[in-house]
Amino acid sequence: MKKTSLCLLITMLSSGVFGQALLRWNYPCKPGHECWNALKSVDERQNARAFKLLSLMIIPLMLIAGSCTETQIREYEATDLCFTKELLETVPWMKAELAWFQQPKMGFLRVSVYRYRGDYYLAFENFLTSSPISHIFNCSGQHLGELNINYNEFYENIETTAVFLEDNY
Amino acid sequence: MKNTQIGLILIVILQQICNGQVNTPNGVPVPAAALFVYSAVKYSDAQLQSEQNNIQNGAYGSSCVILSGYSRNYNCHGYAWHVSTGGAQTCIDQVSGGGVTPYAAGVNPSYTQTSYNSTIGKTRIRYSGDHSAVTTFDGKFISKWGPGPLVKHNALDVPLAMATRRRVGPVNMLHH
Repeated sequence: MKKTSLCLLITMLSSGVFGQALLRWNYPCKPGHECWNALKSVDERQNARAFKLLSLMIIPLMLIAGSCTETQIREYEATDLCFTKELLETVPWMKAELAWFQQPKMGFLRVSVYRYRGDYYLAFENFLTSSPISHIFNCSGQHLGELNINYNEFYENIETTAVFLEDNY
Repeated sequence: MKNTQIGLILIVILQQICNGQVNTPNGVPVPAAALFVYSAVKYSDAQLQSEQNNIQNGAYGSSCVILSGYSRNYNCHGYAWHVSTGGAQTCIDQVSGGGVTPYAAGVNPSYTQTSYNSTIGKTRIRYSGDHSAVTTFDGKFISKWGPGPLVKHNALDVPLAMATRRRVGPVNMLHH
């Protein structure tokens, strides 16, 4: 989502600025040209140079915007599918984790999907668990500890994409 | 080159300070990856208070007495192995970070395993599940329940996740 927004922003900025700059680019006066000498003031000459420079700066922006394809956006949507409510009840490791927390005397449980640095994670958040790091998994079923992801760094950079369950056991 | 090395050393030192380095009584450092603080966003005051009320109302056994209110800054392992010996509040992860292991195993362990006797106070207990506690002279246990409160309780009056992961009861008794 963040990448998509960035791409859109760059596209909008570059097209807006480029449109303006294009008008200036067509400005006929260049050094050595006949009309250049007609630009009497230093300001006018400086402006002409600045517009030229601005136009050159816009080219890289346009190239970046061009690389933001629809494929990239679809890739994120597809990745999200590794965690669904249905899979929670059918994929063995997810099912086992859920069943463990749904036993009596286990307390409050929330099952959420978070997006962290472009990847999706399934979190089983029990309010009395001592080692929460081992209950947050990536799409392959590896927990944060195995992935060497710091617990606090993770929570400081997540976006909640779904909450599957909130209940007391 | 020298400047880069100095910079890297400074970064490592700063990281250790920021993570609040924890050492065992014998001076062995607990892995930095095992130290954390519960998320304030995901474990809200209202939810923690609600869980604390459940404990107070006997949801996990009638022996439970709350000694101190909920806190995200330390957990059961942090309390039993570090806070109860005068250390600063900290959360220690055992399952993936192996934060309790240096206290009882490896190079220069501070604790040795012994048989539990209910009259021996201040013994550190490791449950077969993901839980640690400190014993009292009156045969009770004192333990911190996740980000929840500090509780005095009978050995098995704890949430199931703490007492067992497929097995029941405290099995490893570690006495300092």
